[in-house]
This record gives sequence, C-alpha cells and structure tokens, in this order.
Amino acid sequence: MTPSRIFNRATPYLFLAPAAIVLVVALLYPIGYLTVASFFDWRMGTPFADSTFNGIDNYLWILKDPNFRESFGVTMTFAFTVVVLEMFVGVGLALLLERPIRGMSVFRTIFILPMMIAPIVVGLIWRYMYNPQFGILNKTLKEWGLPAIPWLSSPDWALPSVIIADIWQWTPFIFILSLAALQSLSKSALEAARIDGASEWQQIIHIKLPLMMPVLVVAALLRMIDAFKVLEVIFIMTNGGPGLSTEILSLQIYKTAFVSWELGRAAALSNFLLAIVLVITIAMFLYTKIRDARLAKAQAAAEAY
Amino acid sequence: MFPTPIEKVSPTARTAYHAGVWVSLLLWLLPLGAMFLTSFRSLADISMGNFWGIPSEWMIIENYSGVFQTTPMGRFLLNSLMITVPTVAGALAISSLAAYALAKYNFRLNIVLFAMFIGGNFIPFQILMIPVRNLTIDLGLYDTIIGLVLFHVAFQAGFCTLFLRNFIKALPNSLIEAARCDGAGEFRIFFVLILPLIRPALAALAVLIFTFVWNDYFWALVLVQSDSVRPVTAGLEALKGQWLASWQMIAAGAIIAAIPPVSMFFLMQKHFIAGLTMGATKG
Repeated sequence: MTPSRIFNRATPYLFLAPAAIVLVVALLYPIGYLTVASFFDWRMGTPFADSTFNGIDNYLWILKDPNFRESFGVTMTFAFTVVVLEMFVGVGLALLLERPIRGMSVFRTIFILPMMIAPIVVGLIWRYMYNPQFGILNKTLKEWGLPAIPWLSSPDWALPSVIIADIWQWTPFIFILSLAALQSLSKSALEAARIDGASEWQQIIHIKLPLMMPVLVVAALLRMIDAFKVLEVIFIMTNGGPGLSTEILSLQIYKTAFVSWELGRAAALSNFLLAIVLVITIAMFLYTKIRDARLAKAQAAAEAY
Repeated sequence: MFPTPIEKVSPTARTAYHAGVWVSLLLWLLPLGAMFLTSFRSLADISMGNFWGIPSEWMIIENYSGVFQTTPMGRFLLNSLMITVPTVAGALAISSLAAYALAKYNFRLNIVLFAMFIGGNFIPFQILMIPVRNLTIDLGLYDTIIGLVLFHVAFQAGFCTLFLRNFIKALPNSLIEAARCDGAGEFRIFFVLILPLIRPALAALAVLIFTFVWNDYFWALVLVQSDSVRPVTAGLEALKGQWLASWQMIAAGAIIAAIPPVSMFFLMQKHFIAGLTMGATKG
C-alpha cells in the first residue's frame, strides 16, 4: 500500500479519535471501575487497592436492605406518576392549543420557560412556594379558610409535592413534542374524517392520537429515562426526607457514596440503576426498529400495489 | 383548513376556550411570578405575609446589587461562563468530526463505535460519580475548571454525535464524491463543504448544550469545592446558608442564575425547539 492509501484508510479513525478518546476516558473506564468496585468491600479511608474482595456481598446486601426496597418503591412511584401525568397534561394542552389563535406563539414561548431554568432554581422556587411560614401556597389556603398542608414536612405529602414540581418543569417537553407531531400529521386523513362527519372528539381519538403514537411512545420513554436520573430538584427540596419518603435511587447512591462513604455498596447500587435504564433504553430502540420495519413494509406493499 | 379555526366556533365556546388557555398559562406562570415579585420586596413584606400585593417598598436595586456586593455571585457567574462556553465549543468540535466519520465512511469498527456513542447518550451519568471523582483527583483536575469542562464535554459528546450523525447522513453523497473528484482532501471536504452545511444543526445543539451545562448542579457538587471554581448553580446552594430565610435575596440570586439560559432561549427560540424535536424524534 502506498502511504496515501494508508492515510485514506485512517481518515475515519482520525476523525473519530478525539471523541472516542474522551468517551473511553470519561465513560468506559469509569463504568469498568464501577463494575469491579461493586465486588469489593470498599469504604472511605481505605484506598481501593487495600479493600478486600467480597464477591456478590454488596448485591446481596442491597437486596436485603429495607432502605433500598423503600427507595426503589419511591423511585418507581415517582417515575411512573410523573410520566403518566405529564403525558396527559402535555398531550391534552397540545391538542387544545393546536388551533391557530392570537397570542399563541407568546403562550408557547412562556410555557417552555420552566424547562430552561436550572433544576436547582426550580427546587428553590418550589421550596419557597411550599414553605410553611413564608410560602404562598399555605398563605393562600389560609386566606380561603382552608387548612394548611404540610407540603414538604409530612411523609405523606412530600412525594406528591416533589411530583408537582417535576410536572411543572417537564410537561412543556411533552407539550413541544406533541405539538410538533400534531403539526406534521397528514392533513388528508383529517380531512377525510371531517367529510365523513367525525366530531372533534372522534377525530382526536381515532385519527390524531393513533397517528401521534410513535412520537408519544418515544417521548414517554425519554421522560421515563430522565425520571430515573432526577436528583437535583429533590436534593434541593427535601434531600430525600422526611424519612425516606422522597429518597429516589440516584439520591440514595449519592448518599451511600458521599455521606456514609460505602463506596463498594454505592457501586453496586449504581449498576442496579444502570440496568433499569438500560432495559428502558433497549425497549425504546426495539420499538423504533419495529416501527421503522413496519413502515418500510407498508411502503413496499404500497409501491407494489 | 384543519383544525377548525377558532373563529368559526360559537362565541361562547370561543370565550370559554380563550379563558381556559389564559388561565392555564397564568397557573403555569404562578411560581415564576411569585419568585419575581419576591425578588422586588423587602424582608418586612415577606415576614408580614404580603405575597401578592404591591410591594410596600420597591427593593429592586437594593436586592439585586446586594446579591453582588455581599456574595461572590459575580465570580460564580464568570465561572459558569468559563465552564459553559468551552464545553459547547469542545463538544461541538469533537462531535462534528466523529459524526461525519460515522455517517459517511464505511469502515470496520463503525458499528462498534456507533454503539458506544449511543450508550454514551443514555447512561445516567450520576452513577459514575465515584470513579469520575477519583479520576479527577488522580489527574490533578479535581476542583478545576478544566476538569469540569472535560467531563461535561465527554457527557455531551454522545448526544451531539448522534444528533449530528443523523443530520449529516441526510446530506447527499454525490456532493462529497464531487469534491473528491475535484481533488479536495478529506479534511478540506469536512471544513469547507460539510461544516457550512450543518450550521443549523450546530446552532440548535449549541443552544441545547449551553442550557444543559449552565444548569448543571450535580457535577459542580461532586467535582468542585472552592468558590474560585464554583458555577452559579452550586454557588446559589452554597449561599443558602448565608441567606437563611432572606427569601428576597434567594429569589434575586435565582433569577440572576436563570437569566443567561432564558435569554439564550429567547434569542435562539427557533433553534431550541427544532433541536429538541429533532433530537427526540430522530435520535
């Protein structure tokens, strides 16, 4: 081979090298490290080299730990509740606001604002709203003659309060995606339905929602993945409390690692969370692959016809 | 014209619809409005419970200048800028190169590397906190701006590369082949032909990455401990102790921290929405 041919063959690798190196150092190496560490009894104070191998003890400990079970339950409740409610509100608002009305672009712009704000600021805003002394929510309830609600201080209310804040911040995400999906729907299907006398409601149920479904499924799965990663807002609002009532898994990992300094156990917990997210991600990819394959088949059939 | 323009619906329904739209908008804005009003108030107002009324005295200048005078907020803002801008530039630079290679070259490791970038897009990065923290300590990058930039770039690279790959993949191959026939080298093709063509995608990504990184708090918490490096998000949390129940200061600080990403959004709104939709539907 001539030198220039060798160079040509190497070109894609040269283009990829910087990104690949960064990814290996910052991603693959830490994941490997984490996996190895999860099999060691590794605590604060001992360097990793001096910690002892303890097999799958960390994983067994997790399974037996009641705190983990509670935190797992909180995580699942949180993730499913926020995704379901955000889908309902987001898609509903998109269907409502799809009409061309005056001031719509202003509405859309303002509605997206919560997404742009740092999670820590969102946490602060809601902690202020919920504040028992200075918070405007309880103050307003009192003025209306209603009893005060112990938003963040009671174990029963803390999780719903945190969920409300998440819905406030992330419904706009579903809203934007649904709106984009609605606007790219085929007009001919809707027209046909209208001519056949379908009511607004029938159009939504039988035409719009089914046609939007592919985007909606992906949006819901993306939100689900994100919901498992949420940490900052809850960290600021409740730090997991009262008790463990809002301690989602990512927060428990953080505390196990940097508060009680049980690094081996935190590593095992991390791998557990990674597995959950991996399953959802694979589900999402399978879904899009199957959808694309079906579309291609339908297209081929249409062309043959 | 579908859906039915609102003008064709009966007047009562139309009024109800408009009212519904604006009420829901106001409801959504309530928390932001409360924060804004609070940042204009005096402490006396807050402890008196004057939440929705006109502030008894306007403390706009006092509160906002107080934030800068009594705290290192100016420093925090500067740090955020020094972390965010290089991250955006770095992530876009390495991802556009990688995306071009993945989209337009056939080579043996293409699939493997592509899978790695997909993985890099979906891993919950928080779980890497222990190894990443130890790695920065070993490399002498703990508590430095470079360390934060490096890991932010790495965490955003997967998303950027996937996003740009889909965009470049849609460009016609004939363009590149024509340039090759004219004797352009591979790097020249990338810089002179591809880069100008993907400018819209780069703009959309830049807005997204800017807000992601500016708003990050977690990595600042894990990788930073001194005020000279701390970005504005972590700074805000650190000041909570100093401000205690001075909610008018907290509100002013929070609004200052939110201004850069929000103004970025207003300036580049189209790009931002295009980016989100593209990223979610095609990524």
